[in-house]
Amino acid sequence: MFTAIFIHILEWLAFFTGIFYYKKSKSRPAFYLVCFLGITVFVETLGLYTIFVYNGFLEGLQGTLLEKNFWLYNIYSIVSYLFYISFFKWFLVSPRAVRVMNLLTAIFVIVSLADNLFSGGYFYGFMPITHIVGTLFVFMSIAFYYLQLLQGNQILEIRKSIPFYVSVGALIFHLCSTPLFIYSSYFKNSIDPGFVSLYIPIIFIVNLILYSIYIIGFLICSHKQNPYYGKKNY
Amino acid sequence: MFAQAEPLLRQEKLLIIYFVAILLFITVFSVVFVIAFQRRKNKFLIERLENQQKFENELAKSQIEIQEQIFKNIAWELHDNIGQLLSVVNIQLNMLLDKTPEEHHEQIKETKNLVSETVQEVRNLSKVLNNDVVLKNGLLNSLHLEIVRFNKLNFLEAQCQVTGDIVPIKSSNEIIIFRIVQEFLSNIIKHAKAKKLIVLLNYKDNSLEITAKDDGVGFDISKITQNSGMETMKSRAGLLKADFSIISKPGKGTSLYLNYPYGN
Repeated sequence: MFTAIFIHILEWLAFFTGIFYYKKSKSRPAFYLVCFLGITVFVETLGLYTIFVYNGFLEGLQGTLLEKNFWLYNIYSIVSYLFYISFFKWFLVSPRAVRVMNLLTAIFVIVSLADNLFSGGYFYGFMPITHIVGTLFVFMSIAFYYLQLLQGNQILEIRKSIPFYVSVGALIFHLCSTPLFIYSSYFKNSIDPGFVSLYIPIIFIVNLILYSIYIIGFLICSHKQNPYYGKKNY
Repeated sequence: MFAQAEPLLRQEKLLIIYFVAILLFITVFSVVFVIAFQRRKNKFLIERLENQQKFENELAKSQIEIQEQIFKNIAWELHDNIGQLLSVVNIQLNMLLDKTPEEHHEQIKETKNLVSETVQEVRNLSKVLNNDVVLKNGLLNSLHLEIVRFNKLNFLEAQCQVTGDIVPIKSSNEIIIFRIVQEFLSNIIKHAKAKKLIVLLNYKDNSLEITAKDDGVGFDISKITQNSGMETMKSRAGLLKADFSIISKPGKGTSLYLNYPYGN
């Protein structure tokens, strides 16, 4: 319980520092990033309704498909992967790389929709194939972004570029959390208490790292503007 | 025990796929990243080298411009000041001619002739010094003028030969070629004690080959310190991207070889 609340506070903090950063930078990618953080905070807060399913006013949901909040997070994870894949597209200059990313986005949409609709586990756990494909594509998107960094002068001011912080956070988070999400249907004390006690601290640490990096990145980047940021016309 | 082993769960298979895919991606990405980094570094090094060369070229060019300006100033001074003064001397001598007795006339006339020759000399010298005039006359005419001037000095017997069809050369490069040859020729006058001098211009299909030879005392190339004349000739040839060499041995004369490709 404590970990969930702590992560929640961190998410709100990241959202607010994001708004603070956006007010200074006023760039389109920053706007989308803040919007995404807003959606995240909204979904996480909404997801807390499961607390009241067992001891509160939502007891009527017990035994229904909405008893667990997996359905909400499955939609959210599609949005999240789409966001991360597209976010780094803003910073790519090479048209070939952008075309590859568009293709990957399309493939991801098809695969994830098919996975969610036809695999049958939509209400009982995270969709493993969506997470695997999404993580791989986010990784590729970030790889393209890093190669792009190597070509230009932006790398000289990497400390002040927000997409770099986002890329580090996203990479750590997705690579480390996906193996656990694959087994999410085992996340029940009645099935395997050992897995639950493994799952909670890892997800906690990964979230802690992700949002700490975002907050630090926002604070550093709003402190001083990156002269190389926004060379492309948004 | 293995016979009783159960088939793997779906999640376990997915996990295996996940790790294999991620490791594959990381490997491929690392390789691509290293290659890209290498390329970028090489590009950077080449850029730096090019910049340095550009800078050196600019430096050589500006040096030449300064020198040309100085030459021009000297040429003006020679033509306007010294030329005028000598003309005044001539007029004075004319006036003297009327006032002096008959027996000095011969000597005064000789002096007058000498002064006229000097005026002509000074004018010629100013012509080859001023690059506007060199530009107007062109490389060949200016070289001829220079050769004629040398012959008049009575130090040596100079010759200029042209073979092949004459190809027009960009005038800014023409000046540089002329200055290289001029520098070489003036060194011959100063140091070589030569009796004969031959300048050959060979217009080939793709390049202009200039050879200049004397039969003077020569020098040991390995022993001579790189003096400024040698350096300017070299840097000018570098500016033209032309092949340039000076060959000399003590007692066997000196020769200059310059091969200028038209394309540059």
